[in-house]
Amino acid sequence: MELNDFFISRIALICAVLGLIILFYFSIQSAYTEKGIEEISNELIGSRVSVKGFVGESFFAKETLFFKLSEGRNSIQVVKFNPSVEDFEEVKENSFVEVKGSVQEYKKNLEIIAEEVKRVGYE
Amino acid sequence: MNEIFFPLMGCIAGVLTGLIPGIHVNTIALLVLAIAPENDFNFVLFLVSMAVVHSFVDFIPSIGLGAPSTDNFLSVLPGHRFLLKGKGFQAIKLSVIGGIFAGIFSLLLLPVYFLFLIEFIELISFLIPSILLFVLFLMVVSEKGAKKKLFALIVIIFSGATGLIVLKNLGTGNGLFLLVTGFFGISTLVYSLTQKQKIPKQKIEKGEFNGRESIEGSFLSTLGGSIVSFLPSVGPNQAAFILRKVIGRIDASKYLIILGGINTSNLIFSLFVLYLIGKTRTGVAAAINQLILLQEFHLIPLIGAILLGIGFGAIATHLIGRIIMKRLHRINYIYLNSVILVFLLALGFFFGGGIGMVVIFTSSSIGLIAVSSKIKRTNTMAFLMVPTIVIYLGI
Repeated sequence: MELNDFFISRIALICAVLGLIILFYFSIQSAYTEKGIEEISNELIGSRVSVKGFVGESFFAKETLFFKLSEGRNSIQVVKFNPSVEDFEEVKENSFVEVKGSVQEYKKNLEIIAEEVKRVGYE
Repeated sequence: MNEIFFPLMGCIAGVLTGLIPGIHVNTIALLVLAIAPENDFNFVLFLVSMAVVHSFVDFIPSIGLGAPSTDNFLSVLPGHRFLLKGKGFQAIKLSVIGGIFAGIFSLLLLPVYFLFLIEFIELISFLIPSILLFVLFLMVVSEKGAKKKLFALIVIIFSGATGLIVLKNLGTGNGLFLLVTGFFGISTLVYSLTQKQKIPKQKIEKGEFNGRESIEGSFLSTLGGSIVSFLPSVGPNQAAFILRKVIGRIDASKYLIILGGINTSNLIFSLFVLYLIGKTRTGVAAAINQLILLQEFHLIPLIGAILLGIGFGAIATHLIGRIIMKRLHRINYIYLNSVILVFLLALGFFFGGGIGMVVIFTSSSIGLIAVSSKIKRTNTMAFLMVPTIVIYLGI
């Protein structure tokens, strides 16, 4: 079997196009879907959501910030790995925040692995 | 659309870092760390595509100008031989073939890698010093005649001692750059100048490559890249070198395919090592680790950025390599070599100051001993192998 320039350049082109398609698909998928805390269920595991609520109890351990996010009777655990100084400023008890992150299951409980935490006005 | 814009910008940055000798992706990764907001995955995509493209493009200065990078400096020697035969463009294309196929094999073999390699990591780590010692022994005995064997032993001892002292005191960043510049860059350039080598017109023809050789070379490089991605202190150059010595005679074409592929596959696997066990084995993986905690949903876009980098890197290297090689014979090579020599010395001074100059002077002198005594210049690889043996034996 001989490989020629034409064959090699076509493989390179296919790789580049395939890469772009995957990235394009990810850019659509990676958009955060706005959800209420009560809507977070097992079906959303792995998907990225934007959730608003009041900050409840919080604690910091092993370079990870844990806090409870509540609205009404519903609440969910939020986990922020390697939090920045700004994250600590945003996560104050009773402040109303928007959390963007992915839904994960840990020890049979649902939680949000936060990528971004931002204080917002209560609507 | 940032998920597409950032990787594309990474591809362009990779072309620039690959083309400019002395500018490494790790330098840009440090800049990215300084400006990127925390947890911004787009910058991760930028870094990944940049590093993959760089692993292709940096063969152009290595082969065309004899200016090595810390990732692929072994390609300077076979690359230069191809160049003197007017086959510099073919050498570049061989490295591209290695990069494309090893990149694809690495992605296809990820599940196997996940399942099996972790099981063998301890055994491989245990065997590394013995394998390296065996390779050093082979390096001496493979030289013909008692005089050459003696010179090989002297070069190995000198190179090993230089590597130990420099890497211990200057670290693997600047120290490695200075050693590679001396052993493989300056010594090649100085030797070229003394021989008044003339670069012949490079053949820019549509090449036909042996498919079996290409696949075999790429597969070997994937294997080598996957193993070193796990191991601290062992890089793609050592892996390629060990493969060549352990497997036996590998012709220059296949060796260039292996060198082209091993760099790309090592980079790809190191990203997944970061995801799997949180260990950083390349500068880019270390930068990503600082930026974000890699999670499962990041894997697919990472693969997208890698594929984009493979395609973009291969096409860019082919096009730019063609342009440069087509014009290379018109350039006064003695003048060009002198300019690159001064540029590398200036970079050495910038990164290492007066001590850097001493390191370059020592390592290039040892490289020249190897060249003038007509023994294999790869004997100077002891500068990396001896410190690796020392680390693994815990001495």
